[in-house]
Amino acid sequence: MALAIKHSLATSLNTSHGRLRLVGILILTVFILAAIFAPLTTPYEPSARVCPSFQTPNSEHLLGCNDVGHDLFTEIVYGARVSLTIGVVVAIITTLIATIVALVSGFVGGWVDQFFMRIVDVVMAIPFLPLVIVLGVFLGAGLTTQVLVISLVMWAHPARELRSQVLAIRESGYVESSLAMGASQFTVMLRHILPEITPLIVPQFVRVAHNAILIEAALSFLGLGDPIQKSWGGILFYANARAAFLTGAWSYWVMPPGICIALVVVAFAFIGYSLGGKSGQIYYPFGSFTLKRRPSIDTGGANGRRLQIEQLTTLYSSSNETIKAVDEVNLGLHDCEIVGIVGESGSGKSTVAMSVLGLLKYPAAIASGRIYLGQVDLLDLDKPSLQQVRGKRLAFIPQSAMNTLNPVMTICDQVQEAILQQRDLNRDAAEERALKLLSMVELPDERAQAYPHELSGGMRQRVVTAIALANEPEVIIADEPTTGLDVLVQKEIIGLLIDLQRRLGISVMFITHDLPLVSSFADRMAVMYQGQIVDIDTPQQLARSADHAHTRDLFENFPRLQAPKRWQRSDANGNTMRELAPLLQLTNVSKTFHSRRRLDFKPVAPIRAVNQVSFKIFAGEVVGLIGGSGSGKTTLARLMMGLIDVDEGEISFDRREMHNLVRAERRAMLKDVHMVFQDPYQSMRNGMRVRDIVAEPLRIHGLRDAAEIEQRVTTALGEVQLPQSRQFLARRISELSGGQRQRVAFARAVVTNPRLIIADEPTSMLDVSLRMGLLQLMESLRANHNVGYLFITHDLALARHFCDRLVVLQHGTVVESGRTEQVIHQPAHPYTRALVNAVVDPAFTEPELAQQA
Amino acid sequence: MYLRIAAQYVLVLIVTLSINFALPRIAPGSPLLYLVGEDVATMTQAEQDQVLREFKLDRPIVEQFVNYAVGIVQGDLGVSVRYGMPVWDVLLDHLPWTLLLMGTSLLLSASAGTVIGVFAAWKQGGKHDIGALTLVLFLGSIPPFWVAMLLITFFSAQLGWLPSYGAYAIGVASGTPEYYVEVVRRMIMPISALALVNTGNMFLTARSSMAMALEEDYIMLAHAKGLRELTVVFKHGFRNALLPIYTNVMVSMGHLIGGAMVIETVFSYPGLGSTIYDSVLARDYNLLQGAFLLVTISVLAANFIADMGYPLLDPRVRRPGVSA
Amino acid sequence: MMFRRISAMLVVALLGISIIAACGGAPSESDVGETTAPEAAASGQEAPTDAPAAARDTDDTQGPQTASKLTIGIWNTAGNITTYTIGNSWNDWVLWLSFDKLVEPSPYVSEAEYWLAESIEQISDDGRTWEIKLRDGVTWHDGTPLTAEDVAFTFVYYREGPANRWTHHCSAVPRMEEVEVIDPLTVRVTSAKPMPNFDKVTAADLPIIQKAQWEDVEEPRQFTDIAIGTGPYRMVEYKADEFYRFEANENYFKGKPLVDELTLVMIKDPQTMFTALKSGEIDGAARSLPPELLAEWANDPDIKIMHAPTLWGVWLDVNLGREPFNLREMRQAVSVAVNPDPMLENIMLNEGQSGLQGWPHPDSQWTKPDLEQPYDQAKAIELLDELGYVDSDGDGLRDTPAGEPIDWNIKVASNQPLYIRAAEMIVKQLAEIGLQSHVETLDPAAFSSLWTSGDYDLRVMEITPHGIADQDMLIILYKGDNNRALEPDPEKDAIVARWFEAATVEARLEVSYELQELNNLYPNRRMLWYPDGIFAYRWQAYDNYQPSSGYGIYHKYSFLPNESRGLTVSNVEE
Repeated sequence: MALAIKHSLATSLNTSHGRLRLVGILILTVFILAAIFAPLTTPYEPSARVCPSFQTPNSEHLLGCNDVGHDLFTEIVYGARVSLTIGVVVAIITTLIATIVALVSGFVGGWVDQFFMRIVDVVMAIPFLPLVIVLGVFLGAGLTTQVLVISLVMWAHPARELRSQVLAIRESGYVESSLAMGASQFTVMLRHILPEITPLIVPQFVRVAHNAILIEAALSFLGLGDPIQKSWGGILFYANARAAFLTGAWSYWVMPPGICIALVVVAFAFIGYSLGGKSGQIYYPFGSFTLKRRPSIDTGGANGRRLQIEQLTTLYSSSNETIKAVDEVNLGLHDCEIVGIVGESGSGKSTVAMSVLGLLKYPAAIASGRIYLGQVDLLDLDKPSLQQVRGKRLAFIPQSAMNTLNPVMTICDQVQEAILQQRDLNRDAAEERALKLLSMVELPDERAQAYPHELSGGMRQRVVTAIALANEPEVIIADEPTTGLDVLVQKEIIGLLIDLQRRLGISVMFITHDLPLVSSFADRMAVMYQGQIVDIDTPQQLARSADHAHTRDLFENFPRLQAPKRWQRSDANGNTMRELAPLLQLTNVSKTFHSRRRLDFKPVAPIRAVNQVSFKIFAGEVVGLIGGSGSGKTTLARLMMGLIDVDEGEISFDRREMHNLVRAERRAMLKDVHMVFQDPYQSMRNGMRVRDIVAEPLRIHGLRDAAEIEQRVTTALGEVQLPQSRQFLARRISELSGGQRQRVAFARAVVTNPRLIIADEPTSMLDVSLRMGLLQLMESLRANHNVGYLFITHDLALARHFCDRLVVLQHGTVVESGRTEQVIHQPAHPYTRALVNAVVDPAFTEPELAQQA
Repeated sequence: MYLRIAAQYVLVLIVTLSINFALPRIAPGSPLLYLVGEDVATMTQAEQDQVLREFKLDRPIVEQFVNYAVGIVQGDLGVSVRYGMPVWDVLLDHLPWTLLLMGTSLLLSASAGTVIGVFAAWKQGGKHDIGALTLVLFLGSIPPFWVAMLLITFFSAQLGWLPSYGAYAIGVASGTPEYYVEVVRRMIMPISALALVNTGNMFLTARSSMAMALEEDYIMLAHAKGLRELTVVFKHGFRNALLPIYTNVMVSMGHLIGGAMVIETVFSYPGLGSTIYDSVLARDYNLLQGAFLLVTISVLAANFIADMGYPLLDPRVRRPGVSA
Repeated sequence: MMFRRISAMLVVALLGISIIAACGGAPSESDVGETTAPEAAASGQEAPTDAPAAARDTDDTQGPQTASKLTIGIWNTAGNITTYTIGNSWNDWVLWLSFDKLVEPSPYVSEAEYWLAESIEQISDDGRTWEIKLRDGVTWHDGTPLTAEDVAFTFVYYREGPANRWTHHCSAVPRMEEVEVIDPLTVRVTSAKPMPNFDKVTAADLPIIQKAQWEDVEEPRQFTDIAIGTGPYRMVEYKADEFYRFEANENYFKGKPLVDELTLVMIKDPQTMFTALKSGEIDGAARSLPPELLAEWANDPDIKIMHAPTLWGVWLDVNLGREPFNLREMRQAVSVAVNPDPMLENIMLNEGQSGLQGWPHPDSQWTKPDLEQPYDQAKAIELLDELGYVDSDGDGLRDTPAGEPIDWNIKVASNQPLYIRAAEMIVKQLAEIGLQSHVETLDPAAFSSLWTSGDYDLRVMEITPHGIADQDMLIILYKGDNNRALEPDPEKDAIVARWFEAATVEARLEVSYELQELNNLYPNRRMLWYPDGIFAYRWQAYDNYQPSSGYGIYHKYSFLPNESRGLTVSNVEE
């Protein structure tokens, strides 16, 4: 415990926020101590006549005396008690009301939410003063009235803010997964929403206290407070009435209480700000390098190559340790060449790209090395000249998942901006050139004036590509340009990029974690591992005989469509299953979403997410649900788990109806079905410990006996090959890696030994090396417990190896289903055929994709 | 959809107006005591009712509520007990001064708060940021009435630079330049007292929304386009940070009409705030209802305009297109 | 880059303003601004001694005796200035600028003189009928002559029309039965009961209004036109709650007023009012200076201070409509248990007269000389023991004879800090003889509702001259108390009956003395102090003010030619 305090003290000292918070806490403690130990700090009683009226400050009376001979210093110290009590007590009551209202209205929603929000509107609309007087007079003067009155008026604003935060939490992954396990609204509120919202309550508490003290002072000054209580505002009330402002008395009678109020209020403001405010990391205007790097020998330019990186080292220095993200990297880029940089997350591939572009975010900084673009060393350029290079000779295509287009500017303007930056054309010429560029990236003309949010992921990548090509750059750095896109769209974008690269003779540095994709078109490929380039050669050479073990691992881990099926399950038990009743059966299931338009009158056509879907899953069988993004895979999963109701059709589990169940029945059914979500970081709440996460389904289904829970949790962890020690059980989930977290998710799944597990893209967030391990784990669970899987994925190659049967989904309808071998090798439906073709298989021949374009 | 929002605003308006009707009446005391003072002890009940009849306040409560409701619709808000003038005229006399005072102080604090906030967010983490932050937080914590009294003490009593009361120089014909000079001189102190507190609030919103905007990915792309630092920070960063700032300004605009009761009383500034304060103490029901009507409508109108204005600033709301 | 410089400058400018404001730096030496108030004197640090410094002697710096324009600050008028919107407040004098009475200055002073009236004689020996002869040649502000019709109309309108502060003069004490116009300048009035004081009280209190203007006004309190009076000043322009502008009435029958134009400005906050006076924005502050400022301003070269009796009082009102204060002896015990002198010394810094002199106001002509409400702690203890209010449960606090604990509330208006201090002192003094009590503050409107609700044990409040210096009002207050008292007081009822029957002024005075004696023996109102009127003004603007009892120095007589002021003003005391 002491260690934690020392640690938090240390970290808070260096950040600006920490210092503010400390100053705030310091001031507050001084005043609180003075208030509590008031009798010790002053010899006099607060309301005793101890000196002649209007006594000016002297040795015994530091701040002199007021109009009836009470010692002012004593009055201020005792006044602290009143003002602070009012501030703190009001803050407690107000935040309490606000939290309850926020939780109830945020979580229950519907008319309850509307009802409370209208009350909030009313309370905020009522003029403040008369409410204060009426309540003050009605409830009788006194401290309690002051507190009640101010609280009744101030709860509205924090309630509204906390409600929006509750709404945000309610949408989070771990709430959805908890609901999917059958938890009731109340338990979710108690176990998930409340612990998550508590840290957000503190800034509200502090802000309310800040305002309460100011309001009380103003009320007392106006004589509407309770002059008997002698708060700081009360002292000022008497000072004003006895003309202290006009006489010489202002310096010792008026200044001290005012300054005390200001100090206490600013203390609250500092604490509130540092808790609620943004973390204070420094905004690092891109492009300003730390120039104190070791000058390596000047090798006189890129000697023939278009871009030459020499001995590049980039460090991430945080408060207690520095990590070498890029370690002595050398890389050359010839004219008109595509070099792929491949590596797992954390291998430093993006850092290299950012170092070249000079777009490193704080706290990254380049320690040494040179980056030559032609004859110019980019690291030597000052800011204006660097801005000449960027966008003109050196261009950048960002990752597709990010929102890299300014949401409030039209596409055309953003492209025009890039053009006008480097060439002084008039507006029409620039617009004309922008439209030409957009047509070059095959973006339909009528979309030119659209806003980014009106375009699909694929279209946004085309726009970003157009921006990069605005001024015919020599080198383009593309950092994961197609990650997160639909398989088919990915193929089009890559095709477009390669075609433009060939035609315009641009050198491209293509950074990705998707080895098969880049090996199909890159001229050369560099594999990075822990900040170093471990292998660099043509893709074919690397595929055949890579030097470094990591590269071999990478190639080996990628499932190939054509390679023999890795998990061959004996057909025998496949047939025997036929006669038994299916474990899970969907017949003609449909679901339509009606989205509400907010302001303009045109109602948007309802979206039919799932359309007449039917298929079966037998015990112990693995069925793959395949389809691109927006095909309705996830909606189907949520329908099966009962998270949303089915419009038509039925879902039955073990011949019992499973859809649109009442809560109690649904919970009973959920004992046998469990869902594992895609994002391990979202589906489990960071604050929880491993033991609680795995035990949650047990507690939901009513198991209370601690010993049994502990025992079942330990066995579950063993089954997923995770340590079963007490320390591991007690570790917080936030301390584990992505792979470990997903294994904990599976431990949570098997602890109630379900008969069916619905896995929604369980491996897509993991690095390649971990994927195979996880699939192996799922297979062992299937074998031991005869568990059936519904394996939802967009990765056809993976599905081919793991699943027994496949169901292909397009726009919510099943276009094809059957044994995996048959669907992959003789695809009947054109969409399936397109999916199969889109899978890039690094066969050992020339990169056929490039030839086809 | 539209209708539902409008219906909710109307509902809130009706509930608030009825509370505004009931509120002053719940408090003990009646306008009669303001009118006749201590003689009320010697007046017979008939005489008391007769005085109240002049202001139609002797009628049963339900009838008074009906008159009040009908009055709002027809625009006849009754006669003020304190002024003996129709409420509408009293409000129209005092409203311009409140709008002038609060409008300017809001304008000043909004612009100052935003400029410093944006500057601090841009230089985030540096000594400028912490300096501006500490100063603004401190200024925002000083009790406004205390500052007002100190300003009067120094700039009026001791230095005699600025007049300490009222909104205009009495006896100077309005419209003449000298009249306006006097009006400005009388506005300086109240506005600086008001602006201190408001600036803090504006600064915090501007700083946090600007800091968030600067971390967005389109800022990185803007730099990658080779745009100048200023263009990136202001054309892209600030343009996006403008949305929360706009909402914050609109909300505080709503509370404009209520006026700064304390500051107006201290400076004897004839705004709506000080009028409400005096009317509450005199239990001037008719005037209070009129003033509250204005305050309530202005708060709801400000919220409504904020909602309506938002799509103009944010295309995502204006044209909710196909999400990817 | 240029932009960064501008915003930096802006920040520095803002810093500059706020630092000066926040830390209240010492006033800069640069002596700008219209007035030359030397800083040294103003924010002097010397301790205000107990005794007020001697006021500036008048002869060496004599200011102008007339003025073309004068601005005076007032503080609690709001709407129009008519007999229906002004009453019972510190600003009654604003009404008397435009209106006149038959006899002036007021019913409270011993000698008054005929004003609008030429003569007022009692023509029936039972004191019920009087004849008023009006002064000839007096005109209203609109030029029409003042006639008997107007006077008669005034009496009838007050009696029949909507009630106001002066109604009781016509409808109750005394009740005007008939009002006849004998000739354009003579009115005969007959009342139900004898009214020997008609010429001294009623005629000296009733403002005469113009029949033509008020004849068909049903709702006088909503009357927004400018009232037409006969007084020395005519109101020409007003903005409710902001300012009132008066111009001199050239052909005023007592001579042309000395100040041509009077502007009264509304400043609600006392601090702001006195700051405006100090900085020269106003020439006079029609608000009594707080005693603590007296020492500070005594040697300010621009400001002169003048003392004037205001006939206001502050008393502790005992609620005889509630147990146990219906018992006379209990009221006496409370009265003698409270010692007003420390309050006068600590709160009013001796700027006033002690409450030991009882009520009504010692300066009023109707008050029995050597009246007193003594302070005698021993007597209080004795009385309480007799009544059985002893400490029965041994907690050191007295309980009711039935044994319940006592905890009286002393209610005070929350915007009256001086009275809250007084109430706190009373709590201590009562505690000395074992009586538990506590102070409760109410917002002003709720406090004034106590008059009708009677929901208090004790309350500390101020009372207007009309309340404590007007003999008729004494009876009105008796009537008010009576219908609230729990049990009648036969002895007092008898005296009041004899008062009504007394036909001559002397006889009525004798009976009034008996009533006052009884009121002070078993008082339901214990006087605390009578505040002195301390008024400050800028003598370089106008230096011809004279104190008038009950009005202070700001009143219409200060603006009349000195020779025609006569008895309305008392000489300038040291």
